[in-house]
Amino acid sequence: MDTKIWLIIAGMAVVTFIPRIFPFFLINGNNLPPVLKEWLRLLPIVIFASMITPPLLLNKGSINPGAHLEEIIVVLTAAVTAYFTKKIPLCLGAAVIMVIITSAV
Amino acid sequence: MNIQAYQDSRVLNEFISGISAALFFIIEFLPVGLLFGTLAIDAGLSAAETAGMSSLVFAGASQFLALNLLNTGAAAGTIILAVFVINLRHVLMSSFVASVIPRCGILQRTVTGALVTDEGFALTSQQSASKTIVSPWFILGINVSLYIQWQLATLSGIYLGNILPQLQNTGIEAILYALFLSIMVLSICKRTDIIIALLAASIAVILNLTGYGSSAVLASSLISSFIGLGVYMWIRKSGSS
Repeated sequence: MDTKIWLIIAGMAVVTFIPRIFPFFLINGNNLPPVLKEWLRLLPIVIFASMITPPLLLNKGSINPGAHLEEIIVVLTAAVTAYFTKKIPLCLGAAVIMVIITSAV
Repeated sequence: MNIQAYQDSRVLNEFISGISAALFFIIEFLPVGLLFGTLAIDAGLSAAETAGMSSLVFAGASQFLALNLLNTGAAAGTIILAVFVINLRHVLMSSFVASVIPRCGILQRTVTGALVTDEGFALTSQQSASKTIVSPWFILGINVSLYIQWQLATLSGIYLGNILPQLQNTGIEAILYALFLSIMVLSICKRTDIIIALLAASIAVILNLTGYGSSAVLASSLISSFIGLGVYMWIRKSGSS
């Protein structure tokens, strides 16, 4: 049992480490072709969109934004703050205030 | 001050500002790490195994996934494969991080990449929205800060999990998503970016609905970013001709 767990941990460590460092072998320095730069520029946009949308819209395997209404209000408040102020600390402040308001209502 | 001393002090400054930038994530790492430590002990792992997993793997989602699979009696190979699939998204995040640091040696790059996480990626992309080049020492500071937080939270779960009340998770998730979305908004600089973002969100939702949740972030990011690249190349081509 013991050895099996440690074997799993070692395996997990390897398959976590490789995806993390692999791109650093391919990309060194900022002098990259414009097409690659454009692709990299898009990454934060598509990654965050893919990361946060499913947990906000889905509930028990179907689309049900009503189940996460408070969270959606908080997240959208931060997005609007980001758009107008361009300052992350203000976005976080707005989000915290909205969490307090929505949990009090 | 000679140049060497000047550079050393800048390295230290960047490292420290990375550490402090990441301190914010304690609101996430403490409750989540506490929960992981508690659940791992409940699942029958020893204290050494639990701490070993957090320190060698350092990936929240993967560790919870492994616990779930261990509880269902899954084979070692199944667990490792599942963890690999869920971690493939880090290839994209690391590509981005690798592209914002200046040219440097392979050792420094390996050290910078070794601890890339969703949260570290978020802070790096926030930093790169205002600066074109991000110091690898800043990124290392972020990663070391997050790593220590994760270990301390796991340890508190292992030893105090049955004494401490589990921290209320309500609100924290919303604040985390709010941060991610705000950084996304700051990364948008063209009108087509908004369409690409909506496309990525839709594909991710569809993949989750059809049972491909564990590879949704990777697959939808890849598909939508390549479509975005196609649009970019098409506009550039029609603009130049």
